[in-house]
Amino acid sequence: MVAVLWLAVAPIARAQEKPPLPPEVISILGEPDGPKDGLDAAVVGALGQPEGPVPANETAINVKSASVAVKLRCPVCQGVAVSDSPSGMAVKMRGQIRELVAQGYSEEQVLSYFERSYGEFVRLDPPMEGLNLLLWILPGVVLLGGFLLVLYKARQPVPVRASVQDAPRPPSEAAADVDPALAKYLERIRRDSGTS
Amino acid sequence: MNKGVMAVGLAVTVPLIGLLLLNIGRNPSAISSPLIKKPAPDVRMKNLEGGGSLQISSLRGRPIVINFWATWCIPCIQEHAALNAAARSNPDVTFLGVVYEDSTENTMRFLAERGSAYNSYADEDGKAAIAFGVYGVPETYFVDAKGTIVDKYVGPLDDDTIFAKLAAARK
Repeated sequence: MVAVLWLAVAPIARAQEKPPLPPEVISILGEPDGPKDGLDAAVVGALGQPEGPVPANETAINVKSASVAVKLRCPVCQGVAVSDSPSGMAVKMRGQIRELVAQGYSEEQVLSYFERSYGEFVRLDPPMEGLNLLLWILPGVVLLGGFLLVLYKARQPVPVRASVQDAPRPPSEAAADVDPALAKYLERIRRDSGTS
Repeated sequence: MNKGVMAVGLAVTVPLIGLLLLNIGRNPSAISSPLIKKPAPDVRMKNLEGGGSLQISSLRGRPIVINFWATWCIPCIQEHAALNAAARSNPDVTFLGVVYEDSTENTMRFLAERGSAYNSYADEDGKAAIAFGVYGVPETYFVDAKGTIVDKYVGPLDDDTIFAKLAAARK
């Protein structure tokens, strides 16, 4: 069982090891600056070591990189994701995303790296915390408020139509509209005319 | 008019008008950086003139002025003289240019024609620009001797602005 496991793991381990440079090469060229696919000091300073596993192959790297690129805003564009922008900056950001993903950095780590430089603005989906909660809650509150307003208005009595309004009303109902100062004169007229 | 409708209308429009008035005098290009008061990203860049490369952390102990620029950027050309003069008159400060989205050929021609009192570095893969959160050029970062970014300036620098920002970086 152990032997089978070793046979499976050994080729990967060998592929990740890099042979040391011979002393004569170092004496001429000096120590290398660091491998092209090595971790950047700026990245390690910001994120630490990669959290996730290194993707198994190119396809996995491409898929994961694409899923991160759609969540990042291109900083030099107008509301366009890094994945959709042809700008030079977006192309370079896609390159850096791919590099970080290939090194095993998790999606959240990659998003945090760009957020550290550009702020939360760079995330197309801001996290649900703090003031950002308003973005999720406010539309619901406004919708509910509108629904309640419509409901309230629907329950209000229907306004009287003009034809009904113009029809003669009984004297007792009409009296309710009379100015109190004139009510006693109206009452006398009604009494004298026998209409009350 | 219905008093309720009026109250709702005022409640919506008055804050919006207030927000507009508050921001009338604001420079839209002066985007604040989340990196202010944080360590400068420790990027490595290739020197365009003398060869070799530079790691930002190797400059600790002196204030640094990091200017992102390009030859196609008119404001960068405008500020070039002020930055050169400041680099000559402030030998205790390290000035460095980082070329943003430009070719080495254009950059070398520009530097040969106009001269420069400090080195410029290539950022071919854009890692330095991304690490510093650059939106466009010119953008200049002022870093103190401890390696902390103390200020960012967007747009062409002049003598007075450089003087004021350097004073903050020296504190």
